[in-house]
Amino acid sequence: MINVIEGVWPGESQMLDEAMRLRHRVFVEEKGWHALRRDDSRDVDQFDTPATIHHVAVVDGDVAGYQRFNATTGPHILADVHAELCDGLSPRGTNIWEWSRYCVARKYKRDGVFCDVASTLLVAALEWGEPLGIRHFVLEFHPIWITRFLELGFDVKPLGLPKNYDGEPTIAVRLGYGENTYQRMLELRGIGSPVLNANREAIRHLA
Amino acid sequence: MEQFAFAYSIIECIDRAGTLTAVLNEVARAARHFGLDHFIVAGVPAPGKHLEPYVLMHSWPKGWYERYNGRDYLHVDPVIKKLRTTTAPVVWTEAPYDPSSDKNGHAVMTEAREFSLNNGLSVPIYTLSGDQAAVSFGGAHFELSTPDQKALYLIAIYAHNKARGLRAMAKPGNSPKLSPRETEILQWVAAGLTSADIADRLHIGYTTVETHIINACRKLDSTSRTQAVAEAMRAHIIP
Repeated sequence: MINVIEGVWPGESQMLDEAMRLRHRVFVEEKGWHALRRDDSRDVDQFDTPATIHHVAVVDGDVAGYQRFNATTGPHILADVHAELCDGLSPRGTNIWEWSRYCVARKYKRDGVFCDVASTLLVAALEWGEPLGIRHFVLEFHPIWITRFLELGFDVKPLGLPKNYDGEPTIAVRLGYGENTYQRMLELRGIGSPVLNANREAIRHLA
Repeated sequence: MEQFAFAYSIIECIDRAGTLTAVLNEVARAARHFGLDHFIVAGVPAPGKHLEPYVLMHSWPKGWYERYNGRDYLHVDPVIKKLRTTTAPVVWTEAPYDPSSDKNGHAVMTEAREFSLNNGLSVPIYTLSGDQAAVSFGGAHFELSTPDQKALYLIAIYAHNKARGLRAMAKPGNSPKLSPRETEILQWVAAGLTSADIADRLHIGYTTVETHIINACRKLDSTSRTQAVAEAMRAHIIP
């Protein structure tokens, strides 16, 4: 089950706070992205604002996975922090959103490339984005993921050559998807739709 | 950045390619552009298996291709050993091995030079089902800058994916071979069980079930489990 949290600042949502602790465990402790380290053990950055869409995967009451989306028409990583990953200008548009901080808690990882939580997060991205007319996502990841997203039926356009950060290659891509992508993912991953928690009012911050 | 523009144009051509020959031509064009003469796109099988059934396409020197396969050099090749443990491309002369203790490895590296494969770049690929593949470029002269290598890295990824997809579609008419486990799981899918049900019934992991279904889909040229069931019935693999 994926909960969508939007319209809140960090600190205004208990569930989001737990997700930010997960982000810190995964990105700082497991992956060693020490630039993100914070004394309060939460990963929060300037791209966590009320305009951010957060997806929190919950399994048996545990925060098991997470991802977030920011509009490319506003501040986002690819334009404001890692513009060097793009050959030319980074893509911007109302139907292009940046997808970032995709992660799964170690406890829920399984053998194989995409565990249940990981697969569910992928499906959630499309389930959320498609009705809103979001046609493309921009992401930064290790080039090893290009093959896998192509196999899942996504269109994957590189935005620049990979660059090395701390010895690991990172590439920026623009993902495109269609109805067949979503169907293919449901079939291959065996997930019954829908994955998004339909009850959003309870966690939406009303301005 | 001209290397990116070049890589992007090759990738677009690969995307439009409708045949393995067309993909091969694009990869050859890329190799030539960077001054390399030969390339190979292949799955990397587990130790003990022969390479040849896993080769998707190649322009390897004939004598070397025969010797490499005939002597199963895949499993003593220091470049492949390195490739199995990394997610980044490997320049051949940087693949670590000890010439004095690793005689077989040394043989592979030196004999390659007889066929003008003095140096090259090998790109590791990891698929959704967890299989490994590699795309290697080699030649008599290797003068690739870092951006050149990155461009080849990208081209390799797209070339492999396209070749794999086309090869799956172009299989000859003999019936595809599913493993016993894949067959068993597909029968349960045909009976209407979900992957979770099958996992419970067979006392194996859910993701293991999923992986078997993915592999069965691929072997049956199917993009859905429903289609895979239909194809399997058509091929008399399941009743």
